[in-house]
This record gives sequence, C-alpha cells and structure tokens, in this order.
Amino acid sequence: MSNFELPVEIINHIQKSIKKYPAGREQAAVKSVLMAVQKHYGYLTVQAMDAVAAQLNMPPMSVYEIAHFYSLYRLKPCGKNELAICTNVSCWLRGAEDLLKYASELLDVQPGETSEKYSITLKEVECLAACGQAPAAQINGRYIGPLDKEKLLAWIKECD
Amino acid sequence: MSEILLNQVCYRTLGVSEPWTLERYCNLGGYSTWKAILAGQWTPEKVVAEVQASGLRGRGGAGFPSGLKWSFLPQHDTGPKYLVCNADESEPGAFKDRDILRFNPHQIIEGIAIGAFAMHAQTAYIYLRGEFAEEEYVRIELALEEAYSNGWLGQKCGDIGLDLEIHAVLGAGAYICGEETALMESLEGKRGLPRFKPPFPANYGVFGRPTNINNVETYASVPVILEKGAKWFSELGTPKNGGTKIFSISGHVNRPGNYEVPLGTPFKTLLDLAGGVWKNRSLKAVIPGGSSTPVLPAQVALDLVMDYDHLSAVGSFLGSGSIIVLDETVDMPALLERISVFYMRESCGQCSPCREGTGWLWRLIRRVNAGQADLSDLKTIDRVAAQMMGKTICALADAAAMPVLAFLKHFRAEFEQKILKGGV
Repeated sequence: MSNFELPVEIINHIQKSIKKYPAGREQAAVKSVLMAVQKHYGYLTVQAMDAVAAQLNMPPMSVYEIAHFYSLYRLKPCGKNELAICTNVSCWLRGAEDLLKYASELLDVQPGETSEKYSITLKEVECLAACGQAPAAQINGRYIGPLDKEKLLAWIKECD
Repeated sequence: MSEILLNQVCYRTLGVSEPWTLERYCNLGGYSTWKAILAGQWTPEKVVAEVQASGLRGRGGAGFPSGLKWSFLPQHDTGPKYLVCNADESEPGAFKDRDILRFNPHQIIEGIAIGAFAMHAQTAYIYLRGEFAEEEYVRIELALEEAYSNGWLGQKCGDIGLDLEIHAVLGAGAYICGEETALMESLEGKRGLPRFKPPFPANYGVFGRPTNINNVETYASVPVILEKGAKWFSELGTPKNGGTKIFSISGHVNRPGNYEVPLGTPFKTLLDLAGGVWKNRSLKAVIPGGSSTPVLPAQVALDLVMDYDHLSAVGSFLGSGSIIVLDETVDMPALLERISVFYMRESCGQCSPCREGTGWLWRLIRRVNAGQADLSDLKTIDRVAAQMMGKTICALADAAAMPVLAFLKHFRAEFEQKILKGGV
C-alpha cells in the first residue's frame, strides 16, 4: 500500500454518510463517498478508490464495480465543465439529435470526449426526467431546457 | 361540470410562492395528519384501512393497490423495518416526481412518515436519482431539516414517543435502479442488479429486512387522503381507479408539462390542457404511459379515458402517466430505434434474454432504418421481442419488447415501406 491518504473533508463526509445506515452496513455509503471523491479530484483515481474501499471495509473490486456501473462517475480526467444533452424520446421529438450534433461540431469532439479548448466534456445522456422542457440538458449538473442553438452557443463562448 | 379539477393533491402547493417551505405547506393544511398521529389520534390499522378505502394505486407504474401493499408487512416481526420512497424517476417521458420533489417536498415527507407509522417502520430512505443532486435533493434535505427541528422526526416524537429517521440518498446514474429491488441493492452500496422475487420486499427488502417501497406520488397522495377522507379521494376518480393522477405530457404539444387531474379524465381533455398538437399538425399516435408502454394510434387515443383499467382494455398501460404525443411527421422506425437503443444501454446484463435480446432488437431496427433489412427481418424482430417477454428477473426485457411489438402491430406498413425504399 502507498501512504496515500484521503483529504480530511472526505473523511468527514464518510463519517457523516455512514450514520444514515445501520452499523456494519458502511458499504451503503459508497456511492455518496465516491461522488465526494470525484468532486475533489475531478475523477475517480484507483488510488482514491482503494482508500475508499479501506475506509468502508469493502474489497477494492466492489468499489471499482460501482464506479463502472453508474454513469455519473468519471474514470478519467474530464473538462472543468460538463454538458449533458438528453436525446431520449421526448427530447428526440423536439430536435435533441440536431442539438447534440451542433454541440459536437462547435466543440470539435464526439459525445464522451472533452474539448481541451473550452474544457467542456460533452455527454449524450438518457432521459433526465425533464421532458416538459425538451430538449433538456444539464450543464454542470444543473437543469437547462428547452435548450436551443443560441443558448448553447452563448454558453460555450462563456467557457472560452 | 366543465371546469376541470386541476392540481388538488400532490401539486396543491403550486400556486404559492416558495411552496417548498414548511410554513407554506402548513398554511395549506400540511402536517395536520402527522400532528394528529403524534398526538395519538390515529392507529396504524386505521391509517391502512383509510388508504385501502381510498382506492389509491401505486403511481410508479404498476398500479398495485397501495393500502393492500401496506398490509403485507409482517405485523409481529419486532426487528427493524424500512420504508423506501422511489424518487429515481427515469422512465423516458416521466417528469412528474421531479416537480413534487421541487415544489412540495414536505408532503412527500409527511406521506412517508404516515406510512412508517402505519407499518411500524423506524427508518425510511428517499432514493433520488443522481441527476437530482443540485436542486431536488437539496430541497428534500432542507425540508427534512425543518421537520426534524420541529420535533416531527427523530427520537421520541410527540405524545406517542415515536422514533422515526428519514434519510435522503442519491443514486449515481442508472435507469435500472428505478426497479424496486435494484434500487435496494443500490441503496446497500452495490451495483443495481434486480433481485429474484420471491422473496418480496415486504419480507426481504433493504438490508434483508421487511420493506415497503412506493413511488413519490403515491406517498405524497397520502396526507391529502387522510386530511380530506378516503371517500373524497376515491370519488374523484372512476371505480377501482381512485383519486387523481399526474399526467406528464411531452412531445409534440404546445404546452408540455405536468397536469394533475382525476383518473378517468378523457385523453382529449388532457391534450387540450397541453394546448393541443403543435404547429397545427394532426395527431399520429400516443405513447400513453412512458416509453415502455405500447403505442396507440390516434384514432384509439382520441377516444381514451385515462385510467388503469381503460388503458389495459386497449392493450396498453397507464404506467407512470407519461403521455408522449407524436404528430403526423414522426418517422416511426426511427423513433423505435431511439427507444430500443435506450433499453440496450440500460440492460443490467444479468439475464441473457434481456442482455442479448435488447441488442438484437436495436440492431435489427437499425438495419430497417439503414436500408439493409428485408421484409423477413420484421418477423425476426417480432420473434425476438416475443421471446424476451416474461423470461427475466425484472421487467426491463418486457419494457424493451413491448414498444417494439406495438410499433410493428400498429405501424407495420411504415416499416415495410422503409425496407422496400431502402431506408428512406
């Protein structure tokens, strides 16, 4: 083992999170702890995941499984900003595929990739439960919709 | 009466400013039932009986009678019992719970508290999808804080000295976690792989203990049912379809949005509420209850009465009440490809018919759209879809197969045309 240590705010987060669950069920806090780790480092490093495993008394492999299973975790460095465009049914019906294509061209990246220039990671995502504001998207986790090309262009310019 | 009763139950706070605060909720009569319970004026049996009498059915999609479900938790088991509120709203087309979470969080909390009292549970979890972290989760956490600091949650509450902890927790991105047992696995800090049933959650749920799980709208309906009476609620709907239901209307309408109306409201009335089909176009079809429910052609939809039983009678489902409106221009094979790729991406992969079947369906439909299919492929699609139904641990395979079968049943000619014209 390396002498890597999780920062104190993550340790505090762990202490707070495990209180929601019965004794001996610390593993239940893993999703929340990984999200806190991701916020701190920008993505999930193996080193940090191993440290989380030790803190929650779980095998490292179980932590990696969680990190790969859920779509909100990042396993590699990403942009400072994240643009997640929904292309599922209700958004698809209102032009989401065009929007995604437009964003892809402006940023010169494919969905899943990061534009270095704007530090924006572009994601195509599934239904965000915001179909009333289709086409819907999330910018850095905040809902925006209906999204259109003008709004998209304006935001991307802000990131430059 | 031509005036439609709108937003009377879960959305009753919508007219007020800052409706998420405890003060505003209490002004509308909120927490009156919970205070009466804490003062010893209710028994658990009376609560369950009232919910049963109201005709409330599960609002997450299955439509199971809620009072009956509440009676399933073992009475004499003295160990820990749990309540879970499923706020993992992810069915494409569904966006009703998000607005309850944002605009009426206290009513969800009161409904859960009442349920916990009725079922002798001392701990409850509200599981919100991970994408709800920035706003909905924050609202719920703030509301919980307010309820705790009023002494309505926590240890030894009220005259009856009730112990009840309610925690909000977040998912991390996975459609499958809306399935109740996958949600429980996820809650325990594992991948969201659905469990075999039986044992059912009522006996073996969170942490292997008896658990009741309901949708956000279901719990949020309960405080109003107890305030105004089971009779008031059930008489709002049609026989066996008590009360109100939120319909999330999206797609090709002028005013997409959530509309809470009595069950049994005609589809036409809802379409009018949503401003009718956009761009003066005509209606082609309707997906009545979320993307997994079988599509209905316009002529069937226009005569529909929106409740559980009427939807079943025409071969579809009310589901989560998520109405997706399709106008005359929709390319049905292209839309079905988008629906199918979703289920393929979200299959957890445990069961072969689902893991393989969802991929087969998507690839075959993609072939139709790419002009690489021949007419016999449509039969293969039918066969693959039929073979997926009822053969897996959870309903995701059925959810993937049902829209495919319905699109081919009602719009087969369009698929055939596309094949004959080489994908155009």
